[in-house]
Amino acid sequence: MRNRVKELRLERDWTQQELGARLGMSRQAIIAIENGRFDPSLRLAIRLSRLFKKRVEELFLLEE
Amino acid sequence: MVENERQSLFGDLWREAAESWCAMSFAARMSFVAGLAGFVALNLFPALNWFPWNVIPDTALSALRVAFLMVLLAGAVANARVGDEFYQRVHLLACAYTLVAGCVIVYALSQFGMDLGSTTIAVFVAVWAVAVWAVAVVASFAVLRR
Repeated sequence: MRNRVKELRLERDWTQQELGARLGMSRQAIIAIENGRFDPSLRLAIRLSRLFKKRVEELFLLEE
Repeated sequence: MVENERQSLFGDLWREAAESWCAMSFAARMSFVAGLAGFVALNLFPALNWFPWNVIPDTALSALRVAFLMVLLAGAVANARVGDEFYQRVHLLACAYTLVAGCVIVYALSQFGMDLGSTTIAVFVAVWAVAVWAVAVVASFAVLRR
């Protein structure tokens, strides 16, 4: 699964710490999601999509 | 613009551990500290003869050790629960590693004729399990943050 979390975070000039704080998540969780090492739960994916004002499928891309 | 804020493995681990400690309730922190202190004291001090431990019946001493271990584990579980879903994944992986490594250790001990029922070996196994768990947490953390 690829995602655009890093790209969208950098567009907004947010640090990983800042994004984590906005979501109530640790910085490590953000690092792991951005690096594709950790797929977030549906709940967190929806919260991310709302924060970035994108649809979930625009944020997370399933590679066939 | 910050591209990557990742620091050293142990630096990150220490910082996150401190944050999770601060996020725990007072009761959970006390449970962890009291459980750890009691468990260490009741296992270490009798061997050092710092106190006439023989005045305490063996059964009572054993019950106290088990009770303190349970209090310690309650604190450890409370600490795991304050983590976000990433840390819950770290703990899950650590438990999986511990289970596999623990099986190998216990099997090896039995093959070398060590009696798992004796107090000494039981303490060693408990300490090994805790040590393996600690290593497993670091390993899981390293794998997931890579």
